[in-house]
Amino acid sequence: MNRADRGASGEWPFAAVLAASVAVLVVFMGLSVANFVSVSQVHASASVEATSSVGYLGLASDGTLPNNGTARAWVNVTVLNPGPKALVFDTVIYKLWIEDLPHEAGFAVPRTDVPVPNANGTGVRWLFTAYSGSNTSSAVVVPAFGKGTVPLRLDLREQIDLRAFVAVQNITGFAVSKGASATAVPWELFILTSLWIDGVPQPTSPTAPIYQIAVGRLVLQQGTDFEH
Amino acid sequence: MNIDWSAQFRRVLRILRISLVPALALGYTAFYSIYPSATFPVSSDASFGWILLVLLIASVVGGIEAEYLQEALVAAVLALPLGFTFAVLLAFTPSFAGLYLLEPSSVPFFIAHYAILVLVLSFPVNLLGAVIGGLIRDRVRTRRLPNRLSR
Repeated sequence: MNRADRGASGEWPFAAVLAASVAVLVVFMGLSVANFVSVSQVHASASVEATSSVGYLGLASDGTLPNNGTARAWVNVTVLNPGPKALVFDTVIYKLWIEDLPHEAGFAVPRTDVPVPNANGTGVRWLFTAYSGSNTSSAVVVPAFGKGTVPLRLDLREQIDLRAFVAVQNITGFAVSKGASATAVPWELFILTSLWIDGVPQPTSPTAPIYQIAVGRLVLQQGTDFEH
Repeated sequence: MNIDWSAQFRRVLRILRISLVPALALGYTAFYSIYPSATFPVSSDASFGWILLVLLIASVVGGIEAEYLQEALVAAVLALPLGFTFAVLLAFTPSFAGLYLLEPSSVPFFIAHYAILVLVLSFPVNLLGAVIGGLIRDRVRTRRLPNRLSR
């Protein structure tokens, strides 16, 4: 046996250093993989379930929406998190469209609507953007293996957004004139929300690549943004 | 010419063993440099000091293991492709659980692109570590030899 073949195997302190180094590196890699897989799991499994309902405050006796009335939307944005890391809500972007029934009935309307193909593809629905905005930094926490909800209450009054209020007033008034109630008018909801994954710090370097920001940030969507 | 295949095979195995620690260190640091916020230790940005420390210690350990400087240098070079393979495997781990952060076919290119600095850095560090490791090994041996002879 030559000198090389005797090698380190015959010298236990060197072999021990090698074994210890391998063990330490394997532990580091194991911890890294565990953390990385848990972050991937959150990305793959989290989902959003948003619901909305619209009510009208101060309706006139005939069921129409008066100038001093309020159209109030309640939007609940719930994120389900089956992953092992908690999430923190950052931004919720919402859009609520009301179906422009007078436009669909052939009346000329002084507002800009969005044409959307029918579900069966035979006709076009006209939608008007009544609510559009965002809620930032609510900091609502979605626990690991749990769910969290950001409740939004959106009021539409004449003083807040005259153009949108008049449109909703006109559309609900049209529904009432056809014998339906104001609440029977269909609405469409779009939600785009971003959340931070707890325990995944954001890069501080201005030269950090975009993917490093995306690793710790989760973007979930429900519905279709008809304006894009 | 008579080639001792058994000795050659043992030599290859020995070089592989020597390159194991620098390769593991390279795989780990390359992966850490790409995902510093989702690996270990968790940090907002990759720490250059940490990467350098891990690479240097690992390459010194590799150098200590080597019997000759030539072996240590070959192992230092071999650690590059091995380390890259480890980094790719680490980035693939979520896909073993059916989870995909990246398109699987793009993972090797992604690693090569974003870990290029670590990959390039590891080469001179491995060479330096091989030399330092060799010096440490020789020093330890020369200290132990008189002890053995005196028994």
